Amino acid sequence: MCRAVLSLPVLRSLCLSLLGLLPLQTQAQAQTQAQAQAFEIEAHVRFDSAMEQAELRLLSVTDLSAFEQLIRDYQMRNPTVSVDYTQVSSRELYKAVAAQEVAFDVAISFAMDLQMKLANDGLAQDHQSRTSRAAPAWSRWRHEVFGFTAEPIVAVTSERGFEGLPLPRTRQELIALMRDHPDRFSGKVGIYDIRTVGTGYLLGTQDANRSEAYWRLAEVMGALDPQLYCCSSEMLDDIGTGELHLAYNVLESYAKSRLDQQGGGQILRLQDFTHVVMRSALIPANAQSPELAGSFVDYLLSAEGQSKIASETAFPPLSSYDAASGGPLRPIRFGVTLLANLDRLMRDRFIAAWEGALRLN
Amino acid sequence: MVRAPQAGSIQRRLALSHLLLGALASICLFLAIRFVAFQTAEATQDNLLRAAANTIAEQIGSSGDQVIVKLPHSAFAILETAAQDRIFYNVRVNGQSITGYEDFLPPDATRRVRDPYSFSLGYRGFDLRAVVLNSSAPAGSELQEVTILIGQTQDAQQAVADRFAAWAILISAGIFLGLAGLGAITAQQALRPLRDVTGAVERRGPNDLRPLRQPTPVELTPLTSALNDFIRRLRHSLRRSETFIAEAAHHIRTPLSTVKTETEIALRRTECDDTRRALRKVLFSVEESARSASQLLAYATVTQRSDSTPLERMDLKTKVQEAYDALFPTADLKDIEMHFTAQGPCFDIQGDVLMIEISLRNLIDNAIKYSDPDSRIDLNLQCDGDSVVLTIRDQGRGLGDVSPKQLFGRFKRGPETAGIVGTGMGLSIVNEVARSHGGQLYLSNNEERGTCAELSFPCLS
Amino acid sequence: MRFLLVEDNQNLAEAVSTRLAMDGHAIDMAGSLGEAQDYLAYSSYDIVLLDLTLPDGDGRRFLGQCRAAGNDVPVIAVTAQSDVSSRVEVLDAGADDYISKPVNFAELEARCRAVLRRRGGASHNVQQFADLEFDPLRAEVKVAGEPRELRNREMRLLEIFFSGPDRIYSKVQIGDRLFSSAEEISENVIEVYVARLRKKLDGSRAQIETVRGLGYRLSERG
Repeated sequence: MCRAVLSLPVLRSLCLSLLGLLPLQTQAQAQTQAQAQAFEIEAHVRFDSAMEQAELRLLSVTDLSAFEQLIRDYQMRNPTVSVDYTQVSSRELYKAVAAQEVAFDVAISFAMDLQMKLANDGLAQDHQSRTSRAAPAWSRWRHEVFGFTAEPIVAVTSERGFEGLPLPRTRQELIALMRDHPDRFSGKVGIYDIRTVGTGYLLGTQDANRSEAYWRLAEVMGALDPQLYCCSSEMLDDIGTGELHLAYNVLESYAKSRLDQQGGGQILRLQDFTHVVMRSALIPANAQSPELAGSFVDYLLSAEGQSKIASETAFPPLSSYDAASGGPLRPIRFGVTLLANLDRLMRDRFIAAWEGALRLN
Repeated sequence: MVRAPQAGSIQRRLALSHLLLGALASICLFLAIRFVAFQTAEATQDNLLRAAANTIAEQIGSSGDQVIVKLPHSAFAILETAAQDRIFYNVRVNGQSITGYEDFLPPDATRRVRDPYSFSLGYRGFDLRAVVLNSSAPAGSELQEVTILIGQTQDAQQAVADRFAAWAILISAGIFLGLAGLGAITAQQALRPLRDVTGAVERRGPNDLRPLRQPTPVELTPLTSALNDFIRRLRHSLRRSETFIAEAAHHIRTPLSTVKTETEIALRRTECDDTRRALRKVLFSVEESARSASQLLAYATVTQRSDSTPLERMDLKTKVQEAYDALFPTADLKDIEMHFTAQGPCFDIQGDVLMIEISLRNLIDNAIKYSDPDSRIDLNLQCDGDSVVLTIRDQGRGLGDVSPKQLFGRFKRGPETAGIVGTGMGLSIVNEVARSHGGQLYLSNNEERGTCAELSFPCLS
Repeated sequence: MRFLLVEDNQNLAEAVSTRLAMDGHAIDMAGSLGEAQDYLAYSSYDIVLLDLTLPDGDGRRFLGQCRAAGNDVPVIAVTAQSDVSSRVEVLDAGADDYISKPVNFAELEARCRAVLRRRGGASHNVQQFADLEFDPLRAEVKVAGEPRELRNREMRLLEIFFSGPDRIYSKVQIGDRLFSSAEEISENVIEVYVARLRKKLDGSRAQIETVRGLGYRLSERG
């Protein structure tokens, strides 16, 4: 039964998912199973196979509409497999896999740090195949977490807001710009409330790890009455209405689709560095059909799968990232430092510093 | 040559023990390298864990009566490994976990040692290498105990150890092959002095009874000494036998000569027919005794010298001539004409002088004995490049109906020998001489009458 | 012939001496090399019969010394040893011939004659009867000055008759002397040899006379 209630937890989980990438019609259309769950389900669909011999149970943070074509394509290649698709927030996904009560075959999430922690703690299974080994080493953690997309994180500027102003190429330039034109930017800068938005926290810590510029940026923003948001959809709404001149750390693919629709904005890949986030899949330790799960992971990583991702979804596939090309793109790597960021003490300290820089306390 | 029974091979044993030694050494080396590699990798990991713990420990502070632990980012950065090892950690203040995995505890949670110590333990089903660092921070009026525990899986370490293991296998295998090869060579080399001695003994053959004078390694000296001692005793034994035979001959023949002479005297003096007949019988028997003694001694000489006397090069024609000269008067006594002819450029053979002389004398003596007076004996010597053949034809009684081979047996006399003194040993003596010289004795009846004896030896050219 | 017998075995020496005397020879006996030396210094001999193993030295060495000292007397070595030296070695040492024990006297006489013939000895052994001149050494008989060659047995037969001319010898007696102890006496052979000898003496005043029932004797015709 659909529990899509516009409550705060739901809102939070929506924001923790794909930055509110897609409208919620999927939820309304979804057929759900009457199942007592220890976690909150946002949507549930079963893709039946006429010749069903096996069932693949997917737990995903991604919106169904994005995945539907992929699933159908997979079923075409594996006609005997029925696919059971459950959509949750990334926090709920973490809880579900950690609890190890309900069994899912593949857990797909945008939250790289949570995925890594699940794997580190021994809650994921090992999967090795020629396809999986062919993926670059930095795109996976051990043989347990497999990134299959490469999605840049950008800033969005409004045309009107930046009228007459040069578009900053680096964060340094952005800082200088904002410092030089406080009147233009005061109350017009939008960022995630990292205290509530998991992805925002991830990106913030990554920014801070990579460059000192992040804290100076935060300080500069702090002096300009920064606007805190839960999700990119609202940030882009406000870019469109002119209430925001700058939205920071937005998913490029989503921003592009929104700007294509509404126009009036610009995507800014900052040249000092542009982080790339990977959507990843892992096979929970208690998966019922691990071989089937492995085949699905391999499909996502395969050339056919990757091209399907490119054509049918808005996500840039992993293969679209060319490591040798140079440029500002910097994939966030699976590593122990992601784990560090989840540490309670670290988190408390970071948030305290962030609040201080942004003058929120 | 008689083959001694074999009981294993020294060379093989040596090579085998080298092989085993090599295998043992290689295995030990391999294990040692692996062990050292693992220890080194583990030590490296321990150092990193300690460094991470220290980094955390340095950031312990206090605020009021609260201990503040700031986990620096660098602590985690230090622990990043290429194998993407798992990390588990737990920071406790006064026994309470303030961050990390609450149930991650050292095996001896109460141990309080100031210096960080490393150990291995299991957690969540993983084998971890961990470090515990105990520290204290003043907070308020009390000293608060801070325990930092960091654990990490050992995949990276294992990878290093495995890489070393691959090298270790390669090195060990190389050393093993080297040692095995070396062992085989050494085994062969070690036995070279033994082969040299064997070769020296083999080359000289059974006729040479000189002592071994070859320098040998100290381990073989007892063997060569014993061998030389053995040779010496053999030489003495042979010489004693020779001397014995010679002396025996003297002690038999001289009294026999006396008997014969006295009997002849008595025969001359007697008038009585009966006495005369008896004395003639005595003379006949004495002749037989003398003959037996001679032949037995000749036979003993021949068999003794058969295998042990050095052979020399000699001209058989000369020897036949000598025998001819020696027995010519005997033939002449019976008015037997004896002729000797030889055809060929060379009659050299390899042989023992005494044995050749004995055999020639026996054959010619036989021919004279069994021939009638006024008959003829022809001696002919020929060499066809391969063998030298002496043919003796007489016009005597012949072999009779018997197969010649049978006559070669000791004490075997043919059917035509009645009335003539003989021991039956002559032919076996000659046959033995022929055999030991690689030659042959062949007997046959002449077409008309008499015997044809062919004695052949390998020609030496 | 005059013999010097050098033999240390007393019994054998006496027997040989007696035996040779029966055939009309003269013998001196020396029991050692030392004695032999003395005898050789005093007298001359036709043949020296030298036993090679004597108590006071090796006969061969003695022989060598004799030859070196210039004594050229004919020597026949007598040996009981079967192997020690071959005939050639003995001859090389200086002997003229050698014979082995037990001594066959017919052979010994034959060898002695051969040695003396080779040495070209004086013909003081010529025996005479009627118009026969008999030289046993050369195995020659002259009938009235005309030489007739004799074969070995013929000569020995004649020698028997010459040892006692006009004496009757029975066939048995002849047989004893003619045949060696190893042979059987054949009366036929004796008759054959007598016949041959008669042929050889043809034309001589001497004859081999048959004495019926008793034997034969050498007598003069007439």
